[in-house]
Amino acid sequence: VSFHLRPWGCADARRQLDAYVDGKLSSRSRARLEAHLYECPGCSAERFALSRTLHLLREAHPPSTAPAGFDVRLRERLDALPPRAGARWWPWALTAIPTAGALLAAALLLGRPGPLKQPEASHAAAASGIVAQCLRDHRQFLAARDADQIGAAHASLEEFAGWANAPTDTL
Amino acid sequence: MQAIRQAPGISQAVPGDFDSAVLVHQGRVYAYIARVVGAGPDAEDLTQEVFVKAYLGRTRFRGDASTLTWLFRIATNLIIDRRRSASRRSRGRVRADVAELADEWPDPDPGANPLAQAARAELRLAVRSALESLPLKMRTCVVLFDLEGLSYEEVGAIAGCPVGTVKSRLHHGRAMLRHRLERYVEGPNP
Repeated sequence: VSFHLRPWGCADARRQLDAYVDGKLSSRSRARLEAHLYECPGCSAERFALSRTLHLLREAHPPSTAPAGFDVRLRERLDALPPRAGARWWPWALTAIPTAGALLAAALLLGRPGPLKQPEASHAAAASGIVAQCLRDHRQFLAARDADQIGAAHASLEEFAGWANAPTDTL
Repeated sequence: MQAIRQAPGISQAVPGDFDSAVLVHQGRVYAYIARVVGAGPDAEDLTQEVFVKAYLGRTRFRGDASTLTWLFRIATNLIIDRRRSASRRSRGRVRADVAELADEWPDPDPGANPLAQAARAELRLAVRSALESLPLKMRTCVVLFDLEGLSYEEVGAIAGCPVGTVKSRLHHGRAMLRHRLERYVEGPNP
């Protein structure tokens, strides 16, 4: 099947010149443009001027590398960054939520106003279960995070879990 | 020299550590910045800033673009920020003279006669000055597409604009370059 295509005029051709020199025209559009360029000296000169401009641009900018010693200076700068540079506040805030929840739950179950007393066995077991669940949930949340950022906050929760599970005579 | 520390965040998205995944691109990032703002201390300073920002933000890199595209985007944003904060410098420093250009990028044919070398150096200076005279967003698109060889889509992702805008900026940028280099562009088909 052959199609009779309307020949492109100069306006059509010049709109497509950039895509043509970039090699982005379809084969059909390329054929139509080339047919026009063959017959139109003005558009042909435009195409040449565009190609020549790009050639000059690339020739004036050969591949280059970073200046001598740049690699060393960059590594020194990165090595000098503080260890926690880039740490964000929100992992800490999220860390604090389950910790506070566990402490509150344990306090409600165990605590009564006044000095710390030996908890009843059922309350101690419930508090221990809550803390353990908080720890499990929290570990899942933290699994994809930078352990370096949350280690200290995590330790406080571990400490509380240890306290809740400790023999009552150590409390 | 102390070895650079591992970057566990980026290792989730990019194979290997920060060295192998990111620092390997320092030459291309420097070249891109130098072509947009002009080579020199400013370009080196900006390039260092790119990698510091990349290091600090490595956990936010999700791997939905190539590492190089990500670095180019950081670089582009830094260039724009730098221009806003110091418009005097950000207009692009036009090369001081031919000798400085020759030191930076030696003539590819050092055996040619001095007159030919001088003519080539003058031409390169004119081209680079023409490029540096383009508006920043236009210049960025021309450098990324015509010199760095990225696709329309990649340039759009870096410049934060649709592909149609990239094509428009390319068209107008090339037209301005052609106009400013008219005396070098003339002549019959090669």
